[in-house]
Amino acid sequence: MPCPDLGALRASLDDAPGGTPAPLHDHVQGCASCFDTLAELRRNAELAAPAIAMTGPDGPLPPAAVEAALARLEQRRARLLAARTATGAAAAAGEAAAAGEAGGSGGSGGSGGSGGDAPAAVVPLRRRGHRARLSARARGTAAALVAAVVLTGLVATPGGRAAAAGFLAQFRSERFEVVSLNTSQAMQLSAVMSQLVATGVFTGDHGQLDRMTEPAAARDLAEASRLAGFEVQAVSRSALPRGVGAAPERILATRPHTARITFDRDRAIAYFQRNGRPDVKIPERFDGAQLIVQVPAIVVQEYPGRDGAPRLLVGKAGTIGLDADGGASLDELREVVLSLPGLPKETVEQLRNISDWRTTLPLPVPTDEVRWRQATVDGAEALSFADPTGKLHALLWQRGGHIWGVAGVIGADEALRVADSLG
Amino acid sequence: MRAVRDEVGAGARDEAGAGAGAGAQDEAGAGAGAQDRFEAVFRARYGELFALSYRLLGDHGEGEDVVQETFLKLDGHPVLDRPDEEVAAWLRRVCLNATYNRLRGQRRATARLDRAGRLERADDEAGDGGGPLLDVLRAEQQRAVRQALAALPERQRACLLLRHAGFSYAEIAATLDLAVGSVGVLLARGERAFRDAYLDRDDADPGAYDAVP
Repeated sequence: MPCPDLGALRASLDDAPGGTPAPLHDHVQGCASCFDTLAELRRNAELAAPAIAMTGPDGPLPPAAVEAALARLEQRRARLLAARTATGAAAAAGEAAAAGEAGGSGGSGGSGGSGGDAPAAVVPLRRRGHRARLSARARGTAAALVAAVVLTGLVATPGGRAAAAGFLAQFRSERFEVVSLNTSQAMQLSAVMSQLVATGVFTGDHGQLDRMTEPAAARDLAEASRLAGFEVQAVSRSALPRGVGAAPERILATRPHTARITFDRDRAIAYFQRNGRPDVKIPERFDGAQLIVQVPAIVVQEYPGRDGAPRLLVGKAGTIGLDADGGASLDELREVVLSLPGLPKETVEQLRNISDWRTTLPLPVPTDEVRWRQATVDGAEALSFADPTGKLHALLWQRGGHIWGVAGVIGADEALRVADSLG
Repeated sequence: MRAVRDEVGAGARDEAGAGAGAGAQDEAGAGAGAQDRFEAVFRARYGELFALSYRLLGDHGEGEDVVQETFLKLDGHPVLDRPDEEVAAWLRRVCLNATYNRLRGQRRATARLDRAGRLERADDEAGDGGGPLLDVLRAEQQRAVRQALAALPERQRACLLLRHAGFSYAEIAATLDLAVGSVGVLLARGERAFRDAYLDRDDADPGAYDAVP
């Protein structure tokens, strides 16, 4: 056998623990050069192995840490998508303006919100970015507009969705109240949510909650109305901003459905203990209690700009409902959730300060990324949002048992005109 | 592998693979499937990628950040539709590149490694109870190892890290886009270079390695 090359000699140290393969071994025993080389390779490997091993983490990451990391990733994905959507929308508006098509994109100061931000939080993976316009993915994302504003960042984490529904114990939507979150608080919140799911404190049929982010295309408004169970009308031509197509290019709808989230008392106690709250007592009757989340039907109409890219989204949904079943009341489960260690103190305070939590839908808003203000739509209380570029505007309000949303690459006044014309 | 490699850095930026002709229902189903796949890959690979990055950076926060960047690039990338082992190799490659970029971006790698040593020590304080002196010594050793690794050519460094993190020759080859037969040579050269860098450091204690020529 000719002298094996360096790589074969080195590989022989790994391929045959306790010895080299027979032919190579025989050769090395009879070849002083290879014998010396192999000895040196072994010494080098024996030096490197423990040294490099020393630099590794102390042990494998616990599943809860991986879930928390996944939750943080989902937050980043949502923010990234929001930024891309805003950038794309701004660019689209800029292009339109340059072509003399954009109307009022400079907007009224102080109005707020990004129609692109909130939906982004709800449709984690369904995106492939697209510059200079709202992409098809962004459209899919935006189609969950109303769902997004119902659950917002709380359902942005895959593992956190079931636990997020726990927070819905505080919700019974008739009106909105903004809960300000900075990035760090949002991440903190999602990490707690993920841990609650990872540790089995809340379990649920994730698929049920996920389905709300997957709208189906309807042929026309009649079909969308049938799917949703309520009537949906087109925006009157006179209310449409300049440069926006007269008819929706695409109509997306989801059916209403119900999700059940089950509470595990023992695991909740263990969670409290692990997080420095061994004193917390939860009555035995709480075990197996369920939160029943009624996720409403949603219809979103997409109106194109002259370049064919979506410029305006109009959404309508039923109101979200929530009930409790089993040994714990909604009040009691809410108290457990609000007492969870690790939640941002300011967020809990804001939630506790909501005077009528049974009819108020807390709306987490990343205030370092989105501006918002109170507004009025045809006499109903509303929230107005703008992204930092001032190109995207959105309005959100509740009226007549429905949640409504308008968002797009439009000015604040234009959003208001569309909103006023609806329903 | 080459095709996959060519796509690294392109990220999930266009919609070429979005299946424009599919109905919304199919698209929705595909979206859910892709999400499940993404999450499964994340759960399966996060730990090993974090360990890889952490070995070089010595900082939990930065290690996690790099792995997050890696998965952000995977999001929507066509490689996600490939078999598990190809996805894993792609992730390792992107993660290593991101880690190197992170090290390079700081310019003063030595200062970074010093800091890593200190952070390591802080991380370990609540750990094995070896006492402050052992903590200091361990942190110092880790600093020295990272300095030695930083001195290696990138491919040798990656090969060493991967091998001593327990990856097979086939996995290393897939990650570095090499023939399996070339891994041994790269590893041999890397270990030799590591030895030289590690023992040539100013504060090396050659007495501890008398057997090394």
